[in-house]
Amino acid sequence: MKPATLAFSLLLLGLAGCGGYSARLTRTRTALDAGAPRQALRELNRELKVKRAEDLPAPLKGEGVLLALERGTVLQQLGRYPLSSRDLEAADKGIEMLDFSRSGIHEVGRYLFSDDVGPYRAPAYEKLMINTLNMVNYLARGDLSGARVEARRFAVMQRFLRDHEEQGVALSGAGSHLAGFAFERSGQNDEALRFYREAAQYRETPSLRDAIERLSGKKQAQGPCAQTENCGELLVVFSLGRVPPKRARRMPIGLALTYASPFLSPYDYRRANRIAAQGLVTWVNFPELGMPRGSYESPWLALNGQALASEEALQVDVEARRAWERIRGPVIASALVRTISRALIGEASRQAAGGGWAGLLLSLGSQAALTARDTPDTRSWSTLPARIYLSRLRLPPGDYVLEGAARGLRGRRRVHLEAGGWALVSFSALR
Amino acid sequence: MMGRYGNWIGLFVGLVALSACAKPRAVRGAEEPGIDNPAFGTSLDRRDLQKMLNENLSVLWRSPVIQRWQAENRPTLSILAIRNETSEHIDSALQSLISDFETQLINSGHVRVISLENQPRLMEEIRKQHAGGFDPAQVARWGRQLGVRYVITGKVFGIDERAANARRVQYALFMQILDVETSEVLFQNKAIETKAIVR
Repeated sequence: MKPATLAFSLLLLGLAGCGGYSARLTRTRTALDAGAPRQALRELNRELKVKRAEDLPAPLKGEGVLLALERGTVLQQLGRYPLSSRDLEAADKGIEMLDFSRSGIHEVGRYLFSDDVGPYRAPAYEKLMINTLNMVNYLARGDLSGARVEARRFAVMQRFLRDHEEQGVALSGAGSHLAGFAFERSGQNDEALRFYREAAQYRETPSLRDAIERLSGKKQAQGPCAQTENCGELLVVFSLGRVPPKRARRMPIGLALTYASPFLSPYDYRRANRIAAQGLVTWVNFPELGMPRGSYESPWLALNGQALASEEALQVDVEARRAWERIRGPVIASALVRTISRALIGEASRQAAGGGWAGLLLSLGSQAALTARDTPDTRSWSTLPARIYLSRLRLPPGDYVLEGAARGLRGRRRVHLEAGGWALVSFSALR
Repeated sequence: MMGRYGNWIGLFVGLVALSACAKPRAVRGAEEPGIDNPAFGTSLDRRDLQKMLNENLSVLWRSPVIQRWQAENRPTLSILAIRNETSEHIDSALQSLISDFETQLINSGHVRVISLENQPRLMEEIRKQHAGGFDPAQVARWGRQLGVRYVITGKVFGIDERAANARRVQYALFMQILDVETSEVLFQNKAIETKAIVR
């Protein structure tokens, strides 16, 4: 056996056994399921290789970008808004750089090597959610300037998605509603109206209808808070649940062929069939979106002990499912192409070693190493809330106590409203 | 036979080599000449802000308002705020710009500068209310509260566009000088800068 061939085989074996991204997050998700966001934060700090939430590795690279997104979401649940903003902003820039750095060689690697070769490409709904959650961070701190920056970034991304992907993926009820709120409270009503109308395209809710009619002059506000300057405005944002994480799955090659046949070339399909018939390869690795985490009901909200209604503004888990369904077939097809490539590499190794027992062992070894190295791409923003509910109302100036509960978690916030002022209160139950 | 499969093996080794990377290290500006030159993103850095400020100042020094200030024997002036109307979080950079601007005005000797930093309550009010459309009457009211003859205010706009492999932000920094008594705009200028991420 030539030394180069041996070195190559050892290299492949050395790469074997890498776990997927989703497996790295198991402890974080378990902590969130147990209603222990502080423990989840510690787990994420450990994954980011920092001691505390105040530290952020610089520059963020690879899965670090996703980990920053995860930590930003958990920090928001803990009410640590400035740190959450910092993480989300760093991740926002990181996701953008990953998008730009993806190249043809990564696609080749994906088809030959492993599903998670190359930079992470965030789906449209994740990109829009970065700015949506960060608007919550800024508005919760009363910072309209910061919220407007995020609203503009949100709009830039929407425009890009509209031009380069489907029209539907650029819609986000919660993001557009929050952007409209930020501009309305800044006195920029035309911009606010544009965002409210966009939010209504996703889902028209009573509060959106009211805001659109009010700003377009079709309706005068009624009741004791008809004059904006006499009352304050309260916006409650409730994020609950989590989108299903992706998980690694092994599927018999015959079944995988059934799923992926529409996305394979006739040539690849024949080769895959031949390899399956020879029994050389029996399993295919690929990622799958997990099952929904139960059904979602509206959160319970109370203002000074009185029940408060909320509106569902966004179904993030449904968007995640739609995004996954769009790419599922091609993902399985690429897994099959990798399977074929591995068989070819095995054959190459056998021939390079001159056949015989040594060749057979090398062939089996290199195929086994490549199979182990073939990590399904389970990268996704897995702490992202599954649903976002909004509740919006005008109230006389004063001090209020807000209580919220969802999925077994409860929270309580005190809020002071001034005449003509406003406040955003955020609740999160990421379980 | 090896030659037939050599390309495959070479390709795999090449892909593995792509994953290698150097460790990051901290450096001082003096150790790395030119460290301030590269752009790290589409946000405004110190170099961009200096360039935009210098452009505005060079026009200001040649403007009639300087002769007016000389005739008034160092009237009082305050820089109120520079509004961020961009898609980048540059508020702290704009605060730095205001400090640089104050320094230049003080050193020019044309005016006496009253810094807003000494009046945190008014600063907070301006920060909160200076969010909507530009209102010269409101700005003049703040000027009177500060007891100054002139105020400087401004805003930064950004036209942000994204393509599949690039992002570009075109910034425009507008600056205005207002007479507090009359709300008259005595000076206005714009400086532009573009930042982009390209492949």
